[in-house]
Amino acid sequence: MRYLLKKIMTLSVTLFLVSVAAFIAFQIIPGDVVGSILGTEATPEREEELRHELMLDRPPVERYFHWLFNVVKGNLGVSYRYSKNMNEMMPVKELIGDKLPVTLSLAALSILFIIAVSIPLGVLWARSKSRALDAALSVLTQVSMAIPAFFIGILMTYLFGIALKLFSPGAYVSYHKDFKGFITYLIFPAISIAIPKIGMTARFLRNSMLTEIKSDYVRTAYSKGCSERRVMYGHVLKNALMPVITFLGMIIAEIVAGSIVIEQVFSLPGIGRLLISSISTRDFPVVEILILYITFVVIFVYFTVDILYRVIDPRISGK
Amino acid sequence: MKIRGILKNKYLLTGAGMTFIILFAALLSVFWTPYSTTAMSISERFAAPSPRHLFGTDNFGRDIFSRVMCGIGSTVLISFMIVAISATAGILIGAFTGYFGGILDEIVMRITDAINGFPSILLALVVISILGPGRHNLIVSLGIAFVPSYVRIVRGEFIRLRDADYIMRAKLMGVSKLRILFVHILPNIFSTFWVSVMIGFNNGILAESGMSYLGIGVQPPDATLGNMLSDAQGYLTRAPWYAIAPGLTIVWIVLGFSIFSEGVRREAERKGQYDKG
Repeated sequence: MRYLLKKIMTLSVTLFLVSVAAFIAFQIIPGDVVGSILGTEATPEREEELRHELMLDRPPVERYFHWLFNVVKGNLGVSYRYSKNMNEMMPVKELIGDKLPVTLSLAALSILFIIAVSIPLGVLWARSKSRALDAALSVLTQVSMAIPAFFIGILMTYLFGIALKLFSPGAYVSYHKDFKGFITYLIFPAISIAIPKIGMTARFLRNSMLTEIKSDYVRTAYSKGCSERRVMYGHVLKNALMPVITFLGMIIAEIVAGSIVIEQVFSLPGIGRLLISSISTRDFPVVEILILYITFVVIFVYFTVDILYRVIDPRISGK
Repeated sequence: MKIRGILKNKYLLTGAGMTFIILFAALLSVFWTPYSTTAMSISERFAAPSPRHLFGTDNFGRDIFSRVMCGIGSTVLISFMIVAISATAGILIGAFTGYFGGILDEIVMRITDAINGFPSILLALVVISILGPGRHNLIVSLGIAFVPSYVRIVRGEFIRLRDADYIMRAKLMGVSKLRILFVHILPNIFSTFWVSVMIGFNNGILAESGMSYLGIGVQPPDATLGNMLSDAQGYLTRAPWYAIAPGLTIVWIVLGFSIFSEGVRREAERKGQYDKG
C-alpha cells in the first residue's frame, strides 16, 4: 500500500514536471498568436481583447497555473489554428475527442497482434530442436526488426491495397458509422506496427525460456515425473513470461509513438496526424495537451506493468 | 590463427560486407553518381528499373539509384552525428553522476527516467516543434532524445567500477579525479558501451528516416531515404519501385549493421573479454 502511494506520488510529480517543461518550452518560441487567429486586418482593440481573453497579457507563472487548473477541470483550452475568430474558438477537447479512439484502437489492436503471434512463436522457437527452423526464425526475426514500420505500411498498401484490392488506400470509415468497417481499416496499420515488435518479443521470449530451461527447478520437475508439456507450460513459460511483461510494457510506449508515423502512412485521422500537423503549424495548445496526454498514457502503462509484476510474482515486494 | 577465427564468424563477415557496401556507396556518392541527383527529364518519368536506370526513375525523371546513393550518404552521416552527440553527452553525464553520486545524481536520474520512458521519436518531435524542421535541428533533436539511453548504461558501469580495488589504489596514489574517470574507468566500460553505440546507430537510422518521412526532417530537394519514401508513396500505383528502392536500402543498412554488431559481440564473447569487465 505504501509502495502504491509512493508510486502514485512519483507518477504525479513526473506528469507535473512534463507539463511545466512543455509549458516553458512553448513560451520561449517566438510568434504572434493573436495575429494568426485574427488575420492582419484586425484592429488593435480587437487584438488587445483577444490577448486578454487568451490571458496572454498575464505573467507566465499565472498563466501556467490557470492553464493547469483548467486542464485538471477538463477544460483543455482552444486551438490557435482552428480558431477562426473570437466567436468561433475551436476547443482542443473537441479537436482531440474523436481522434483519440482511433489511435487507442490502433495501439490496442497492435498489442493484441503482438501478444497473439509472438508468444506462440517464441514458445515454438524455444522448444524446437530443428536447426532449420531455428535458422529460419533467426533470420526472419532479424529482418523484421530491421524494417521500419512505415515501410511495412507502404508495402502493405501496395500489396493488399493496390495489387490485391483488399482495402482502398487512404480511405477510412468512422467508428460512429460502422465499427466493423473501422476495425478492418485498422488491421493493416496494426500489422505494420506489430511486425517489428513481434520479431523482438519472440526473440526475447525464446532467450528467456532457454535461460529458464537450464535452471534447477526444471530438472526437479522432470524428476518428479512431470511431462514435458507440463514442465514447459506450467513451469518454464510461467517464469519466462515475467521479463516479457516488462518488455511489453516498454514496447507500448514505442507502439504509441509508432502509431503516429503509421497514421500518416494510412491517412488515419488519429492524434498522431493531429500532432504532426499541429507541430508544423505551431498550434501549441494542441501540442501541449497531446504531449501531456501521451506522457500520461506512457507513465500509466509503466505503472500498471509495475503493479502487475508484483501481483504475478510475490517474490518482489515493496521495500 | 586469429584471422581464421574471425573468418569463421559468419555474422561478422556478412555484416561487415553489407556495411562496407553501404559505406562505399555513401563515400562514392560524394564524388560520383551515375546521374545527377537533381537532373530532371520529362521523357523518362517513371521509367521501370533497367540497366540504364538500375532502380528506375521518379516522378521528375530523376535517377533513383543516384538519389539512393546520396540518400545513404545523408542518412548514415546524420545517424553518425546523432550517435556522436548523444554518446558523448551520455559519457560525460553518466560518468560524473555515476562516480560522484549525491543529489545531482538523483536529479539527473529522475530526469533521465522520465525521458527514457518517453518514446525517443516523440521527444525529438517536441524538440523539432520548438526549433523548427530541418537537417540540423533533426540532428540536434534526435541527439538529445538518445542521450538518456547512454547515461543509464554509462552511469551503471561507473557505479559498478568506482569501488573496484584498482580504483581505490589509484585514489590512494593521489591520481586526480578526472584521470580516474577517463583514464582508469572509461576504457574498461568500452565493451559494454560499444554495444549500445551500435544499437544507437541503428535507432538513429530508423528515427531519421521516420522523421524525414513525416516531412519534419531533411527537407527536399535534398535526398534522404526517408523523404524519398514519403514522395514515393504518392506514386505507388505508377512506380512501386520508387518506394521499394529506398525502403529496402534502409532495411539493408539496419540489417547489415545489426548483423555486424552481433558478430562483434560474438567475437568479444569468444575472446572472453566480457568476463574481464
